[in-house]
Amino acid sequence: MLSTKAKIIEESERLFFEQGIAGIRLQNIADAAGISVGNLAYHFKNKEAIVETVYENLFSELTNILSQYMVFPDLSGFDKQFSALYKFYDAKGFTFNNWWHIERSFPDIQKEWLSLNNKVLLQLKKRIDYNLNNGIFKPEPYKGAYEALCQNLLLSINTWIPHQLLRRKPSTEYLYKKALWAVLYPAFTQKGEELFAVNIAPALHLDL
Amino acid sequence: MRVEIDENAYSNMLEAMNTLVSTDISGTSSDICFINDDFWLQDTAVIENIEYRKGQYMIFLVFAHHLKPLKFLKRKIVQYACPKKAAIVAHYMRRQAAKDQRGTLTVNLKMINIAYS
Repeated sequence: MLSTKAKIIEESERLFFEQGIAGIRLQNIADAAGISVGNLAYHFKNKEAIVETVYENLFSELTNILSQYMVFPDLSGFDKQFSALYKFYDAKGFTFNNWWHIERSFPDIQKEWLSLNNKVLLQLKKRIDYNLNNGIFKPEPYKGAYEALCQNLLLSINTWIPHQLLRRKPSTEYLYKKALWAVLYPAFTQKGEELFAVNIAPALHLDL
Repeated sequence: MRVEIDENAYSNMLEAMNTLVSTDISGTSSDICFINDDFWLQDTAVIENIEYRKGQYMIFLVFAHHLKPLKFLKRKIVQYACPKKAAIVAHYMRRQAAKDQRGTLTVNLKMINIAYS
């Protein structure tokens, strides 16, 4: 059974996703958690404290994903990270519809969020560098091409799920990974394509 | 406490981690041979043995197989100047090391089969 604090956080995440941080009052959270506002105030003195805790949890989960950085010659490192990121973003949907509110009202959270996003970007770049040295990726067609590729990939990682939700399209881990691999696939060498066909494609049911 | 890591330092760290795969070698079954080799130590009688050497009471523990007592290991654990303290420590060392603390695993002297001729 969840503790009251965990229950408050869980309900807050849900409400932040459904109605946005700006549109939520402590009363809404208390009602959803089935407790009184007084009890809620005992655990969190105001809405800002709840937002901070919610984002702290979010950052620690993302940090945990980033700490599992490990490159594998068969591209499975990418695949594992994609899976972990899908699960993360799928569970933390509230981040999508609160970007601007966090940007405007919580500069510290925004700073931390940007720093973690930069780390994701750096990890993607380093993974590509590693695979480039192993002959899995083609040499860069022009300077900065892979930097831009990483940014595209990050864009897809961060926004694929809300995009699917807005288009009323299904959002599953399998489709998410399929979309991300499609960004990388054109950069593969023949060796990369072979490795992809053996190690990644079967799980994604791709007909190569 | 949150520690900030500089972006360049983080980038260098990832660079260094990229080479880990090639330096890591997967282990072979011989790496865990010790589990089989030392398995007999599970069923040993532990005997404390205090010896007076160079003005110190040295505690040795003897691990002898309960069925084949001639298969044994003797290891020095610690030394004390005081014989009483050495005796107390040796007693507890033995209890800690033995599989059964009450000491039911013992060595039968008849199994040593010494030929006196």
